[in-house]
Amino acid sequence: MREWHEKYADDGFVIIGVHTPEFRHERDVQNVENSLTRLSIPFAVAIDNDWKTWRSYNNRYWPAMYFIDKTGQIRYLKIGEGQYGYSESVIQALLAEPYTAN
Amino acid sequence: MEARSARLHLHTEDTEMIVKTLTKALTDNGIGRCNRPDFGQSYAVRLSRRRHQDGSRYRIALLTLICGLLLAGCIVPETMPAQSNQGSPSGKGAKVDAIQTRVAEERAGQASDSEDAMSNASDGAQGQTSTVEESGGALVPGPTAQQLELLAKLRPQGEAPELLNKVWLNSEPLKLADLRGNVVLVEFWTYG
Repeated sequence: MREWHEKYADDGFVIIGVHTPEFRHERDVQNVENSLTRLSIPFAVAIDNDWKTWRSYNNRYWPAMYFIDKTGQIRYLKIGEGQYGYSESVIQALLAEPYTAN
Repeated sequence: MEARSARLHLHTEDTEMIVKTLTKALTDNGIGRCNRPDFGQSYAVRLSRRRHQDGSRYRIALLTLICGLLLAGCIVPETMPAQSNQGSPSGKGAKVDAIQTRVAEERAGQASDSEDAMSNASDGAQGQTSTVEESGGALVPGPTAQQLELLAKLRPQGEAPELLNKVWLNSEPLKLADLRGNVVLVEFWTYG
């Protein structure tokens, strides 16, 4: 993830981590902040303690990645770890896709 | 069966006869209680033998199952990563892909060069305009043939719901609506 951020941020690729807590101690924002430093996570992280975004996405899994194209459409959903090579090729393809602003 | 026959015995002797024949018919079919002591004994012996045989059979089946599970445990962890890598260009696959895209780009470049040469040879003015168009197109590299194929597979699954969170780390609150023109990856995660 960090690697993708470093590689593609300049090409118009934005990573947003939505932190939805599973356990009580994970609700502590300070704990999340510490983990960002520990894991040196450079990208934006939304604190979803009320599960609002989780519910609006109708999400059920950790981790789950939603790949959103330039027009705001979800194009690919990756659940769980692994297949990073394929996910990266999805990012590259979506970045290469032509886009005209409305 | 006994209870029923006792109740029926209270009425008439005829009914007692009917019950007796019924009971006999049922016991002959092995449903009711058996009155013949020798039969019962031999049946019990047969049952106990069968139980013994079944026990050894179960034991063998259990052993086979355990062996199978152990074998699966040894084999699967080695094969699983290989399977998960299939179909995803990671590692060597990614390198191959990178080379293929480079080759495709080079070919495209060569093709446009040869077209330029031909059009230049046939008509100078027209050749110039086509070069301008192509150089204009080259400024924004479009998707390669492979990427077009992948994009066709990645059908839109609906508009991504807006992010409604107020507390953000590493950033000011972001809205997807403000990020149009960017490729966005929304990842649900938990640090624990």
